[in-house]
Amino acid sequence: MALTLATVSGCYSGLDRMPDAAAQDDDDGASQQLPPRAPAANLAAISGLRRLSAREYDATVRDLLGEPGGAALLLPEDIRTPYDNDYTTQVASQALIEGADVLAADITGRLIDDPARLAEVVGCTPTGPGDAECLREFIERFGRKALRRPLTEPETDEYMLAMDHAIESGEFSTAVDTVLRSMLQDVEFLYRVELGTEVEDEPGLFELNDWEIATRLSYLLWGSTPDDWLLAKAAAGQLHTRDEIRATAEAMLDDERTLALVERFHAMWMGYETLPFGGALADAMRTETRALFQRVLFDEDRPWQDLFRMEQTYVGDTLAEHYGLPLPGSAEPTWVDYGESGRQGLLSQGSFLSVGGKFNDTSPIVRGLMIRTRLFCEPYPTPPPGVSVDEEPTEGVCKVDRYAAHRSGSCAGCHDLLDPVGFGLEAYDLQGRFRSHELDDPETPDDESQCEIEGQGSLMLANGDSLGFSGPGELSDRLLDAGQLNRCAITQLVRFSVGRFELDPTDRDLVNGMTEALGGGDFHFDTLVLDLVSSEAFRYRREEVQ
Amino acid sequence: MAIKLTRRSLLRGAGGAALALPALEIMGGHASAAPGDAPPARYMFGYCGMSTGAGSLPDQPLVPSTEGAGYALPEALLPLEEHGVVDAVTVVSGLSIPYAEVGGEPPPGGRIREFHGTTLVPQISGMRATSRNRVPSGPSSDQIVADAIAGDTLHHSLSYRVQAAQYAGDNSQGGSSGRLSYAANGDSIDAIDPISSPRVAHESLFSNFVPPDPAEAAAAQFLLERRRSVVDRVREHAQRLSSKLGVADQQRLERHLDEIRALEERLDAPPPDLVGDCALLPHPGEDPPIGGAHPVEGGNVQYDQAAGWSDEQLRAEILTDLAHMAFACDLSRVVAMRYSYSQAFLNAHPFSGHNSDVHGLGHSNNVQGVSDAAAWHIGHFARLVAKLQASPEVDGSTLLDHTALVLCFEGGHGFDPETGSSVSPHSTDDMVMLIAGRAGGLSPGRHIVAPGRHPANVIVSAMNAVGVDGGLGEIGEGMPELFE
Repeated sequence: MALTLATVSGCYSGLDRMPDAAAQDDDDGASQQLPPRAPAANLAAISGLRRLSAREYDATVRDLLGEPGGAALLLPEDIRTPYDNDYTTQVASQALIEGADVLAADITGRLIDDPARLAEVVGCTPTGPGDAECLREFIERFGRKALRRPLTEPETDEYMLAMDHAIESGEFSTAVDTVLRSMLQDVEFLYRVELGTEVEDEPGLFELNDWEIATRLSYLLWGSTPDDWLLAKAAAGQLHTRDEIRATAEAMLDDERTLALVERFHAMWMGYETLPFGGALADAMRTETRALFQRVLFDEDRPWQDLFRMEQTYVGDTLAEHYGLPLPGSAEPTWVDYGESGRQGLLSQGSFLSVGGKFNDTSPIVRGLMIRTRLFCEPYPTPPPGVSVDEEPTEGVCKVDRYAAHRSGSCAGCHDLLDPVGFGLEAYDLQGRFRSHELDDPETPDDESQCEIEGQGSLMLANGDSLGFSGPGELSDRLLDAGQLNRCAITQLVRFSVGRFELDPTDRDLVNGMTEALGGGDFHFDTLVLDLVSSEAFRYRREEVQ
Repeated sequence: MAIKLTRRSLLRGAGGAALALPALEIMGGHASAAPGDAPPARYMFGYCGMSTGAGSLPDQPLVPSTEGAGYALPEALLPLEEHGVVDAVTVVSGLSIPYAEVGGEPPPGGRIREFHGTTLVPQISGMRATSRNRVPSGPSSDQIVADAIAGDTLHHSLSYRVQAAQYAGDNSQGGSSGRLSYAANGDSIDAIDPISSPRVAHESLFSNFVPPDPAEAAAAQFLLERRRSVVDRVREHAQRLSSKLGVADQQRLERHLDEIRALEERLDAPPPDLVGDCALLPHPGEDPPIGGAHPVEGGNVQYDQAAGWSDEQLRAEILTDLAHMAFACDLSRVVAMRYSYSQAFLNAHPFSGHNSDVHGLGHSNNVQGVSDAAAWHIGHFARLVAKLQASPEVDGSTLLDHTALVLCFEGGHGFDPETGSSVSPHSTDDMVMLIAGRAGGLSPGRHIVAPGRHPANVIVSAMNAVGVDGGLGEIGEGMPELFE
C-alpha cells in the first residue's frame, strides 16, 4: 500500500528539480564534449539489430503469403517497455530458434496445402519438378520481399540448391518449401538489419540505403513488411531525399494498417493494450476506442489533442448504460454525446480507465503514476534501497483516509504529485463506470461502501501550480493546459520508432528539436509522424558503442 | 572438457565475437552414458507463482503437522502419496527471505520490502532483489548447474513455462515475469526465454528421432535432410552478415548463431539409443489456444470458467513428459520449469473447482483454495518425480537416484513488511520448499523445519548434490541435514 516513489535524487519536493529537466541539463553537458559532426549526423539514432515482434512477424507473413503466422503461440513473449519492439530486451534463445523453425514449417506447410495461394506466391507455373527457371524467378522475386532487399547472384544460387529436393521428391513444391523455410528463418527476415554506408569522416555514422528506408517506413507506419509498391520505390532509388521519403510516407498513411498501428501504439503507450477483463463489454470498449482514433485522426483529420477533447463517444446501448450515458436506442454502436456526464475523450473510455487497478479496485497511486509517467513522461523509478517505502498506513475505512499517510513526511514529495491525480478519477471504477461510493473490499472487516467518493483531484505542475479537476473530462483539459503532452507524445513516438525505451542525449536532442518545431499548441499526428520520417535523422543510423 | 561447455565458455570469454568453431564439424557423438560409466546427475528447478497461505488467516496449508520421516501429509501434499513419492520428497518449511530494514539496503540474498516482483530473484539466483524488475544480477541455479554438468548433451538446459500467458493485464506493468532462467555472459546476465509451446518443446526435443515405421522413417529422414540444409543456409548467411555488423550487433547475432548451431548439432546428432525408458513420445498435436480474460457484466468482472486458461493441465502433462524424456534419453540434464507466472492469474477452476484465479485464492480467506492450487502444482512436480523413480538407469539404479529436484513458491505466509500486516500471503516468512531425489546422497522423505534458513540454502544443497560445488549467488551454504 505504502508505495513511495523516488527519483535518483530522492523524492523531489521542489518542482524546480524536475527529473527530466535535471537529466537534460546533464545531457547538455555531455553532448558538448562530443566532437562536432555534420548536421545530418547530429540527431541520428543508435540502431541495433531488431527482431520482429510477434505482431510484426504475423503481419509480415500475412502480407507476404496471405495468411497470418501464429507467432504469438510459438515465439517467446515480447517484453513490453511499454512497447513490444524494444530490441534491448530481446535475447536470442532456444525458444526463439525452435519456435521460428516450427513456425516456418507450419506456414510453409499450409501454403503447400493450398494450391491457389501457392500458385500466387510462386508466381510462375512450373513445367515439372525440375523447372529451374521458375524456381529462380520465384527465389529472386520472393526473396526480395522476404529479406526486404534484392538477393545477390550467389545468394540466389544457394537457394537454387533446393532444386535437388524437388527432383528427389518429384514435386516442385518441395523446393518452394525448402526455400521458404530458409527465408522465414533467415536472420534478415527475423531481424531488421540496417547496415547503410559509413559516412566519410564520421566514424560510426551510416547513411541508410533505400531498401533500409523502405523497411523503416513500413514497420513504423504499417507494422509490417514493405509491399511491392514500396519495394519498387526503393529499387528505383526514390527513397533517398527527405522530400521523397515524406511524400512516400504520406501516401502510406491512408491505410487500415496505419490506423491499427497508431491505435495499438497509443494502447501500449497508455497501458490498455490488454484489458484486464474480456467478453462482450471489453470488445465494445475496443470498438469504441478504435472508432475514436479513426474519426479524430483519420476520417476528420482533427488535431491529435481532440483525442482528449471529443465530446462524443461510439457506444451501443449496453456500453452506454454501463457508462451511465443516454441510450442511443440500438445495440449497434453509434456516436453519443457525453453531455454533462463529466466525460470527454479517450481518458473517459473504459479502455483507459481499466489501467491502474490493484486488487480489483482502482489504485489512485497507480493511476496517478500512469498519467505522470506515460502522459507527462516523467520518470518515477521504483523506490531505490535507502528510501523508506513503508510509512505505517493510518487507520481508516475510507480510501482517502487510508492514503493520507502518503501525503506527509518523506512520502509527500512524490505522492503529492501522484495521489491527487488518481483521486480525481476515483468516481470512475476499473471498468469505467461512474460510482458515488467506494467498492466494498470483501477482505476487510470494514464496509467501505459507506464511503462517499468526492472525486476531486489536482494536477501539480512543474511551476508549482496546482490545477484542480474532477473526473476524466476535466483532467483531459488540465493535461492539455499543462503543456507537457506534446513533448511526451514526441518522446513516446521516438521510443517506438527507434525500438528503445531508454533515450540517449542525441535522441533527446531530436525530441527537443521536434518539440520546439511543433510548439505548444495543437498538432496533427500525421504531421508529427511525417516530420519524424523526413528528418535528416531518419536517414541515418549511429552504431552502438559498447 | 565437453564441447558444448567449451563453445559457450569461448563465446563468453570472447564477448561473443564471431569465432570459427571447427570442433562442431567433427561433432556427432552422443551423450548417452556408456555401460560402466556412472549415470550422470540431473537437476530440475520448479517454480510456482503463488504463496502458501490464504488472506489474513494464520493457517499454513502446506506445512505438515509433524516433523521427520513419516510426517503427516496435509491435503496440499497428498499428490505425493498419490504418485507414490512421499519417501522421495523432503518438505522444508519455516524458510524465509530477509528484507531490507526501513531505509536500508536489502541484505545478501534478500529483497526490498515490497512483495511482488522481489521474491523471484533471491530464489532463482541467490542474489538480492533491489527492485521489482525480476531480473537477477547473477545467473540462475539451472544455468550454473548446466554449465557444470551438461556435458555434451544436445540441450545445454531446457527452460519450460506451463502457464501460457499472463492473462490479466499486459507485461508492461509486470516486468518479465514469464522468464525463469538467466545465464552469465561475460559481465552481463542474459535472460533465457522459456519455451511455453508444448509443440515446440516436443519438436525440439525429438528433432533427431526416427520413427520405427520404415515409410515414416524415410519421410522423416528426407525432412531431416532438408531441415539440415535449411539451417545450414541460415547459419552461413548469418555468419557472412556478422562481419558487416558493428560490435554490439555482432554480439546479438552471435547469440542467435550460437542457438542456430545448437539446433544444427541436434539435427546432426544420431538419435539416442532407446534404452531404459527413453522413447519417442507421440506428437502432442496443435497447442491448446491461449485463453482470454474474464468478461465484465453489469459493471463487474464475472468469473468465467473458460477464461484465464489455455489447458495448462495438458500443457503441464506434456512438458512433464518431455522433462522426463530429456533425462531418460540424456538429451538434457537440466530443466527449469515455471509452472505458473508470478502472481498467477491462472484460472483455478479447471483443476480445483474454485471460482477464482490462483492469485485471487491467496487474497481471499480461502485456505482450501490455496491448498488445492498448491496441490495442483505439487501434483505435476510429484508426477515428474514418480516418472524418474520408475525409470531404470543402465546400472540398475533409477533416474531419481541421480537427480535433485526443487520446487519453490513465490511467497510464504506471515508478516508483510510492505503493509505491516502480520498475516499476509505477501510475505517471505514461513516459506515452504520441496526437494526431491537422491542424487549425491540426498536423503529425502522427511519434513524439516528450518527457521532462519533461506530457500536458496535448499537450492544450494540440490546443486551440491548434483556435483556443483559452492553456493548460489550471495547464499553460500547448503543444508547438511538434507543429506543426513
